[in-house]
Amino acid sequence: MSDGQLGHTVQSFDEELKRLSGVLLDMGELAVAQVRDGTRSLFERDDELAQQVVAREKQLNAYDTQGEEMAIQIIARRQPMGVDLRSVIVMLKSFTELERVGDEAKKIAKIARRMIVDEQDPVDAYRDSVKHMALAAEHSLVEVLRAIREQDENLAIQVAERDKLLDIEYKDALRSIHEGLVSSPSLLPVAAESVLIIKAIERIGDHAKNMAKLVVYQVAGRDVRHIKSKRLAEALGKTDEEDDVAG
Amino acid sequence: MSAHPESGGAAAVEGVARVRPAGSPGHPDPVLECQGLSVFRGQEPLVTGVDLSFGRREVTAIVGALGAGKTALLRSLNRMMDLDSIYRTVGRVLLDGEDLRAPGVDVLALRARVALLPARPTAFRMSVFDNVAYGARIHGLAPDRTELERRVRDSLQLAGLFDDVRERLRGSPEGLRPEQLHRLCIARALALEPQVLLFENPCQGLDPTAAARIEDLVHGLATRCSVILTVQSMQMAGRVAQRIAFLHAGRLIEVNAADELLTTPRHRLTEAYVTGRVA
Repeated sequence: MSDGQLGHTVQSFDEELKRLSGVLLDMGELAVAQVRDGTRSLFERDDELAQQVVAREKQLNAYDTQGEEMAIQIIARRQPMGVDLRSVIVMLKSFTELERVGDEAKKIAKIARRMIVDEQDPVDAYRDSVKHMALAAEHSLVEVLRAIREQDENLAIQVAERDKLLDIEYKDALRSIHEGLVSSPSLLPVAAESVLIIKAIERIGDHAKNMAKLVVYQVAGRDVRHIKSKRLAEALGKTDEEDDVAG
Repeated sequence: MSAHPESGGAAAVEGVARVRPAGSPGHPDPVLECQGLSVFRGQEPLVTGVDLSFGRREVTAIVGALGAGKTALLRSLNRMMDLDSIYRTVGRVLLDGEDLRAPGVDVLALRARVALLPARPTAFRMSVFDNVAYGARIHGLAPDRTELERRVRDSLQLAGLFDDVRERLRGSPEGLRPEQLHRLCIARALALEPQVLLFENPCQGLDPTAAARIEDLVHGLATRCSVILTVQSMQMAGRVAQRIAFLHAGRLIEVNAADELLTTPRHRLTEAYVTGRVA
């Protein structure tokens, strides 16, 4: 990316790309806050916070629309190529990913509101694993935003690889809910809501992974969307030995 | 994984450094091949150690900034550089394996097989018909009048000019619009039925609409022959060519399929050029 850091001959193009990236990162911060507050409203039974999350989803949609319009304008007016083209396309797709993260956070907040109204509480048995999953998904989102900001391909690979851990946790939580239901069928309403929650969290992790793979394309020009995360480093020639040598 | 693995592998051939460019300089079905091709103006190198294959029935764009060596490279492909003794060419150019720089090669016949269209289209002071027939006549390619008329008609049709001039074939080309003038010169080259057509900046001086139509024509010519063109604009290269070769300071920096080179250039200089960044 050395020359990617150089300015364009047309300086206003640099400014447009910077503004687009700024909108994406602002949207990303809001998406992280939505995930954090959505899960907090669930565990702290905070209806007001849940309402805020539901209401704020419109802001994410507005960011998505604004970012998409800006990206289309850049494509139409600048006809970008090389890393510029990859950057605009990656940002365009990332807006969609973040918008979907917002949808999942809103889903969690809505479930939180229903559970508060129905005086349900996530069962202790699921509580810790759901909390842990939520933290892991939020962490992935924070890290992928850092990878975007710093154009860090290695960090993006780590985020994508980490998603498989979230998938394992999701399956474990699902199993735990199922086992709980077998012993206590009366838990069905809570179990049903819990399944929706962990599915939403797992999807948030997927969106972070998708964005991480987009960063790899942006930086390295390799389309890795359909390479399994566990094979990513190998496919990109990023073995442990190489990393060690690189220091 | 870096987008710009610097290419290396310099080797000395005939005293000129040959540097392996990024991408795929070879071609599975080459019509024309340069091997260690260098062009000098006096002592000044214009093109340095280029190894590059041009695909059959394909459009290849040679792209680079002003002074990158595009024209010298293009003109050396049919030995037009030999016309001025200030230029010296080193290396080999093979047309279907035949060394075009070997002693005894009929250079005039070669220029009918590998025809060059200069950037500025010029109509001769003769009728439209004779303008198109000119090359075919001097190269003796049409044994009789019928064959000559066939060549002229077919070439004008291929060049998309026949309908515009059918009523004035015996008249002067004066008054033709710039786009029609381009088409006239393209028809003149096509009447040679060349294996390879070389274009210097094919849309120079045209308005955007006319340029788009000429681009479309050039792109379509690859069904008849192999096309090699020089151009400064990567956008135009992307619209017209299947393959792009990027030249910088006389050296071939990168060559690859157009869609790959425009989205994921492998060399930092190509990246800087396609994105319009100053080094």
